[in-house]
Amino acid sequence: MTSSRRGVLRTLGTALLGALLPSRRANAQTAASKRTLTADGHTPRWGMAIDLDLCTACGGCVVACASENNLPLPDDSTDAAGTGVSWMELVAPRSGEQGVVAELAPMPCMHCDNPPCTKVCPVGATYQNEEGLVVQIWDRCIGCRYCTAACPYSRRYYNWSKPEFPDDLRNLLNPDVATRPEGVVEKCTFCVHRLRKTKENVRREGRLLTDDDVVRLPACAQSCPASAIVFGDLADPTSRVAHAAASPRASRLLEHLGTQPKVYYLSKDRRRSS
Amino acid sequence: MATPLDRRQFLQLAGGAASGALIAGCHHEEDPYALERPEVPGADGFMRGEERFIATACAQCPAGCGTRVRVVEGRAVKIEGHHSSPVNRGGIGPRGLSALQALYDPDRVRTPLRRVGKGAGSKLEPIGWDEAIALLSTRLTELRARGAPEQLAIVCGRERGTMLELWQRFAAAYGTPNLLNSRDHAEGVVAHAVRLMQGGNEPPAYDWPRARYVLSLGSGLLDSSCQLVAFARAQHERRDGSAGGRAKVVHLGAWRSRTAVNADEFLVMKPGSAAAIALGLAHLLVRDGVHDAAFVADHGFGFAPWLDRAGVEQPGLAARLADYAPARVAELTGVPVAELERIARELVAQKPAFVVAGGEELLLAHGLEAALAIHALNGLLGAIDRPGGLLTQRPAPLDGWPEFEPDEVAQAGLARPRIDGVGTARLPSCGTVLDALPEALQRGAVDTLLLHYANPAWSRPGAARWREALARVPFLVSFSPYLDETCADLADLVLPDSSSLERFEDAAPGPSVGFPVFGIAQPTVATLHSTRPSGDVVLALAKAMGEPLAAAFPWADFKAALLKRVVGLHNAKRGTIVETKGSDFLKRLYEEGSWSEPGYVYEQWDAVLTTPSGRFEFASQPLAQERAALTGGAASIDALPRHVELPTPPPDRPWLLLAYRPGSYATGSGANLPWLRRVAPEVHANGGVSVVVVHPETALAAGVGAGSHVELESVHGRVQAIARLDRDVARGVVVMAEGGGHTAFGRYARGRGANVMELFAAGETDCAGSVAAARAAHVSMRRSAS
Repeated sequence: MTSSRRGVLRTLGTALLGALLPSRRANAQTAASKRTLTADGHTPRWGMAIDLDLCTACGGCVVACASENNLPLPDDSTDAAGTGVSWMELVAPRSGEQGVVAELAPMPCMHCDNPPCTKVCPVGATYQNEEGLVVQIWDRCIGCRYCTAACPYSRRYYNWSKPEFPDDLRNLLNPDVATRPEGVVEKCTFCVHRLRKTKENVRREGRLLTDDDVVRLPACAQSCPASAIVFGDLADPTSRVAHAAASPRASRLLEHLGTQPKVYYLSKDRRRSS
Repeated sequence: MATPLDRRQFLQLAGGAASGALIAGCHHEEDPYALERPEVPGADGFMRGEERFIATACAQCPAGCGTRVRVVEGRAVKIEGHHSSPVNRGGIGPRGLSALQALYDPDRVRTPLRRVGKGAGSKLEPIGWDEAIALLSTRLTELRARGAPEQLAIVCGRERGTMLELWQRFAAAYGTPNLLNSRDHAEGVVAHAVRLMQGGNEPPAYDWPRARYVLSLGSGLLDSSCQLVAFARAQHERRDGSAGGRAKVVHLGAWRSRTAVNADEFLVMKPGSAAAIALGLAHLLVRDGVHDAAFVADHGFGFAPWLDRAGVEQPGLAARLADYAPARVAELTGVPVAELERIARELVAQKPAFVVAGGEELLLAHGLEAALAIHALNGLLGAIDRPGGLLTQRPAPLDGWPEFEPDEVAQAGLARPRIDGVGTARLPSCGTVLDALPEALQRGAVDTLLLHYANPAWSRPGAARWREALARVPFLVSFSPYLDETCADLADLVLPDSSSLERFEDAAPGPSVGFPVFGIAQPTVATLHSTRPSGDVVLALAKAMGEPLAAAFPWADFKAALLKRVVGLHNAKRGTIVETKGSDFLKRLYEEGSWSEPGYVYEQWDAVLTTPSGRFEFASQPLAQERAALTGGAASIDALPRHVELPTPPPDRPWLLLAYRPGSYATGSGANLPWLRRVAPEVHANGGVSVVVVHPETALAAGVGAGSHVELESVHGRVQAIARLDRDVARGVVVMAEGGGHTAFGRYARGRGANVMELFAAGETDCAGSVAAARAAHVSMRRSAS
């Protein structure tokens, strides 16, 4: 009996699948080994801990971020309109303080494990990558600003105007990070380009990624004179960031929203907890 | 009647309009996203995409951090802290990071400039370097030929390092005693107190990692201090607990500063009461017999009654402390007795402990008394040169330059009295008194004034009086790389310095770690404009003036002069870089950017106590002599610290003005660096209107509210600001940040905030050698229109 059309297709499909699957599995394996570089092959979950007991709010992280990531320069019009871009920002955790100097805490993107911003992007310009970073493809953004509205931490910035880098000031732009055009949203990337570069170096040296490779990896953490910012793999219980996140002083912002942020703050007062 | 257009005409017209629009559209507009950027000088030495990290020393503030500059294809694109420097250990503050913007500031002076014409219609025009140096050297040669070399005055803003040494050598060889060096910030007052009681010429370094308790009396550790990065790192060391538990920091101050916010405890005290608190705490230590009696006995002088040079018995500190019983101190300072008693107990119970002086407190009238009282308290705590106490910064073993003999003209000039009055009975032993300069300029004592790292027309107290005086200088030369207020309006010649990322220099860090540190700054990028390092210009000037000056400066350039000194580090054969060959030593120094010799040796009393008596002088004999000379040898010689009430404010100006430096923004000398806007909200928020902070009751009494636009007026000037209210500010005090109110200095600095220096007097100095009285201004405050 001749096989029916459906049967032929089914057989063909299975054969095709069979041919495809092994190679896909192999691809997945090489990709994984390229990606993780961890001893047990687990995928890292990048996170950050900021010890407010050590932080002096000097602003080094803010400027380091601006320098590393080619942020638009602050000017009067953006300052007045509140449209300035500062991925890392010093914010006053206690509202209502009147004086000129407040207790300040550095605030990068929280890189939530359950990010509200990625879910509302209509064009897939922002998504969470496999290592937990909430990243954004500038060129894909259509500027609808749904994500800025969705982010409960106000960590997303829309470029209301064309960034200006007059004359010589263009020379200090970091060639590793694209400047963002007018009309797109931008945000902290946990310095993903530096992470990529570090991984390349580690791979070239033929070894595994260590906590020392990444603990000061983002520009903010690297500059901090008080070493208040640590970065690393939250999935590795031996990492410094995981250790800090497990501290009784650690908490996350707006935890009740269920966003599961990966930035941990360690409270100022040690005596209360120890 | 208009002719109707036929189709052809219409099309012609439309086409013309369209092509016009096209041409307009094609008009070259700079595309900020363009991939191709014009070549920068030095880029041809790089391969495509090549990056290099060049170690250097940060020159943005006196802290002297080690940095690595990331240079890609000849462009400096990022600054990072260098781990090899013990000052910052890899961290770096906002000011250091912003050195890139100082380098690439679009408003830098690109060639030497000469003023053409005089007065309002004058303008600056570019000239060549050879012409500029010839112009200045001719003028200076003539001045010497007239036998008046002392009419050359030099203001050098550098406090330490080879550039200052070079100016000193130049002044000595030329024959002018008038090299002035501005050290009139709080740390200068502390350094003066240390000199009087302990010897040396530097403020103390603090042994943060080992201290368990730190009391800050009005200090600006994280505000006014030039050591912000070192203190931020210290915050890590005293709080991470690795050295045996977390240190506690208690801050007493007149307002809620950055230091107050970061302290574990903050108590508000009346302004100008740090001396009373220190003496009150000393009283309690002595009363309870818990002061370090062994230190007092072995190394102290003047705690007990002592004999002066005439053999007359003078009271010791113990007698003075009797006046500072807790009840009186509480009344003077506003700090309750119970708190004073508790702090005194904690100071002893949580040793090692030390007390930090500094901040606006020391720039009020009689700030020296507070610095002396606090230093005496540290002595009673036994904190001098002990682990967890006050360290004395050990110098790096640099070589000296060969001696030279000033000629007769120079010797005659050097023997003439100084224009700032230092060396007279009134100001016997101060370093230099910059604020005496306007008066000297007014009386025509200066023919040529050289300004290096100085912008007095904007930065000095009594800025208006400075501008008047500077306008009277026959020939004013500035080495500023930016068109600051002094250059723009007053300078006759501008010889632009190269950026710190374009030149060789050393960083002699201010006291921070105690042990010897030396940092070297080297060019990281090729020179962008027709600027020259000021060191090279000084050498060229000496060469152009011929003998005998040229002989004192035998080096080809400043780098050669600098390396001559660095030989000492190599020959010392110790520290972090030890190499047999000099070339290997230099190679490593350039790679690491700094040399240091870790391992502080405590209790080296020979190096630490360098007073005439070789002891820690609770009653300072040098001060006794100065004060005796000041009063014409009158009977009462008070060499002991004391509390002096601030002057009573006049009824029409009832508020005391405190001016502080907002963190890393420092004095506003970095106002041209746009990144720093984010760290100085008090100058740059509010659309560039300065902020003043007052207690709500003060605001109520002055009739202003939160957010009111106010006008502050002193005898000397007025400024506009926005009022903010804060309960943690002493009553009757108005707090305002330095750093605003530039009228020049480039597009990013101009017209932002108000310059608080306009409100102060110029020229009031006491023998603290500091601005002292100059920074005590009483102001009125009233609501203004906008």
